Amino acid sequence: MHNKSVFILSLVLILLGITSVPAFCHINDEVAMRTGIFFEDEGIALTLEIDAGMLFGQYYLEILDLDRDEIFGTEDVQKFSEFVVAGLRLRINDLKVLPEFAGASCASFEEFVAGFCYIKLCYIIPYPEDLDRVCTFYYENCLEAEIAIYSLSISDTAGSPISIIKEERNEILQDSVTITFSNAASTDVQAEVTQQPSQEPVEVAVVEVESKAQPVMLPETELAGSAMLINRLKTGEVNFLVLIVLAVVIGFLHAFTPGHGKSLVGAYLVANRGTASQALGLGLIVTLTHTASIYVFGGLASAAAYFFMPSKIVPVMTVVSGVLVVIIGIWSAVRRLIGLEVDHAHILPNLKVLKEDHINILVDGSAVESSEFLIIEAEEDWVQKQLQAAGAEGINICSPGCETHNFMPAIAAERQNTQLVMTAVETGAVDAIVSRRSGLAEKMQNKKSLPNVDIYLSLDSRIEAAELLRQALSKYNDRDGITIPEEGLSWKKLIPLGIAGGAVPCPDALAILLVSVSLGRVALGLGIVFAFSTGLAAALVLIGMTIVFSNKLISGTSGYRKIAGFLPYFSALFLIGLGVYMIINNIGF
Amino acid sequence: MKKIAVCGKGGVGKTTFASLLIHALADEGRTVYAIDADPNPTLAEALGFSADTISRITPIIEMKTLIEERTGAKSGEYGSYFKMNPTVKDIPAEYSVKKGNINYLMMGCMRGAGKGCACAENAMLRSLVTHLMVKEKETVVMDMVAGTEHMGRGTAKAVDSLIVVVEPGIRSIKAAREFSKMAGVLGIKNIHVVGNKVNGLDDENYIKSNMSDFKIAGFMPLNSSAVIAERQGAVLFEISQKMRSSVQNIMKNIF
Ligand SMILES: Nc1ncnc2c1ncn2[C@@H]1O[C@H](COP(=O)(O)OP(=O)(O)O)[C@@H](O)[C@H]1O
Ligand SMILES: [Mg+2]
Repeated sequence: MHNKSVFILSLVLILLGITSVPAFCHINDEVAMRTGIFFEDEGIALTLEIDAGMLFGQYYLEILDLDRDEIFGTEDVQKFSEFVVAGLRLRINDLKVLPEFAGASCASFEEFVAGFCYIKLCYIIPYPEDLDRVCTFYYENCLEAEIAIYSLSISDTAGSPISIIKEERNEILQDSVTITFSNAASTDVQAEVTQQPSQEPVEVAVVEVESKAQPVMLPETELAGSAMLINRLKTGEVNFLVLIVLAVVIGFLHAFTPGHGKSLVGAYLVANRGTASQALGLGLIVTLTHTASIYVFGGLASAAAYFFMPSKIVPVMTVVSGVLVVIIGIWSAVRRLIGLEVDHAHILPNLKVLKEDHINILVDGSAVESSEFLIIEAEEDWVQKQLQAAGAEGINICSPGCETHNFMPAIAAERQNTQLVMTAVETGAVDAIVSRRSGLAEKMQNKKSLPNVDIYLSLDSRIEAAELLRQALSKYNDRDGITIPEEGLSWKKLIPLGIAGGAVPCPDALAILLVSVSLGRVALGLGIVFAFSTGLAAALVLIGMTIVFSNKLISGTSGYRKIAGFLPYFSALFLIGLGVYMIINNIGF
Repeated sequence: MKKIAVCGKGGVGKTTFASLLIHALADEGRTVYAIDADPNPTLAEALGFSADTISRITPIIEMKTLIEERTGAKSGEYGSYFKMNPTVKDIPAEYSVKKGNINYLMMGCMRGAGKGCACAENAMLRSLVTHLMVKEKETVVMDMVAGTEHMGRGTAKAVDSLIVVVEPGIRSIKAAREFSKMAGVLGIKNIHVVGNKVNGLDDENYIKSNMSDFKIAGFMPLNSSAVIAERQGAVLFEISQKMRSSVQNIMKNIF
């Protein structure tokens, strides 16, 4: 049993840990840079495609539209080219060379605003005079080294006398390459190659490229996840069904990237031993909130697009919600520490045990002995008679549970108990309280809104129990305004949590919506965002269910209980951490 | 209606004695509730219920749905309200297995802290014990673990006799002193000692001299019939004349 619990617990932790796995679908905070190097007859053709994630669009926009006329003019593009060239290291035969600008194409200003940021630059580098001998071309891209994902495709043109002899590239980063090439017409090429053996150690990957080789171009689908959706929208290939299915799948995968309340859902359900329906509910609330927040932000962002770039809004929103999350985290930790928040009391106090048509007597854990006298006396004939006279169904002796199983400081336990008792008294159905806790009476008096209830410190005999019952019976018909919550208070707690989890803006979904808005396909965009959110919800529900299910399996073991006692504190810490991360990550913008 | 609780150190013969007493009471024409409150229940065997019947008994504490229905709380959930006075009136009649006048009820093991909260289950058992001892109209004999953990003061007061079984040895006598101290605190008025596995007058005198401050209800001989009955699944009360007469003698002294 012990092994099993360890196994399942680690399963849950792994599930929670998936958050740290690099995100496949998160392309919005990255810049993709594809370099093409082609050996043409006229020289080396260099193409540079920059595909900036939405969050960088703003940055590129500022460089591209220097004159702020909202049009990318020739001058703008040339200035941008200078900026790009400055980030390149180009050498032929160890001599620095400058590329000649040969043209550019890029997305429109409106597309940039919507978050679709694509620029393609073309250059020509002339061959050296002495092309007869074996030459080397060195290329290195130092642009955005921190955030960029580089790819390189190299080829020589079929039929051209210029051919590649070998290339040595940085296989991991794909940001630099040394290409050895020569004029095939020249006869002494082979000899020279053998005379100049490679100085590099053998381990270095040396790729022999056939002259007719296809460019090692990374396929378009490299634009995985949301970017793929955007591309589909953009290119107009709109098979509605395919798009929706795609959106659901991507939304599902997307849930496993950082954020999205997944860990929140998990931690909550673990700590509070949630039920399957709560897992389902939480998933649905997160989805609805998520969809709604994207609609709202999407609407705001596209309306405000001329004043603020979405790429500026998103980080600001993330910081704002980061601050909110930190506040929620600190608040919940504080509430827990001072005992306002308790393991179950606030979430599942099971108040339905109180019965409106019964005399309800609370006996707290410190006075269990007293309950026995009450139990015995409550069965006496005189009590039954008076119950009938008063029109009550019976005597209901309730306990908020023992304290022996709680792992919490005495002060917190005291506060928890007080809170539990007050929650019950608030219903208006409590007729008497038996509690050894001396502070309880004072605390209840301080809270004026509470109905007045007699508190007995203890009952030491059936005579005292009888006196309590007599008092309670006599007041039974004076009580009014009873409201006993049906389902406990769990949903009260669950809904704000789901909203907090779903409201964190998700740039990818926002991007989808913004692009479809900018392309005039608003309805489609809204539909896709909904489908995307549905996939997200499916993932959250799945995670929730897994946790609930494994929770059920391990809940019987004492080791788990010890951990479970501390989990709420961890989840509060986690919230604070998440919030701080969100702020730090975005404050640099 | 007599309420009798049997306690004593493990292995002294509580269950053996309880089964004899239950049969003796039933023999007088009383309806007897035989309550097995031992976590390792063996009273059913001693009373002569068939292995098949026994295998189909569920201890009250394991009746999860019943407990949830009556206490309003799920087992294992702490920090949530539950009813401390669940309705238990119907349980002795409804959930016991019967043989003649004898109604056997298996309580099951009351859980302590560390294994999660057992408040609801424990409330159920406590209420049931309280009901059996205080309100039940018929005779009740309870075979207990060792001490009196199922009882509070209100219930203890209703016990007509607490029978502490001892053997002629200092360990079971020391334990008996502990139990009677606890019982005294709880307010049990009548405490009787039964000497079991007594082999001759020397053993009897040993117990008498070491427990001179107790009411000794009587002795039962060390007799192979006890082991034979256990082995064969037979009823000791029926197969051993000696045991029968000694328990009937003890019964007279108790009441
Ligand atoms: N008077 C007796 N003579 C011989 N064996 C006995 C006698 N009383 C009990 N035993 C045996 O002692 C063992 C323990 O008895 P049991 O009644 O189960 O004790 P307890 O219930 O106190 O644990 C059993 O094997 C039983 O057969
Ligand atoms: Mg026994």
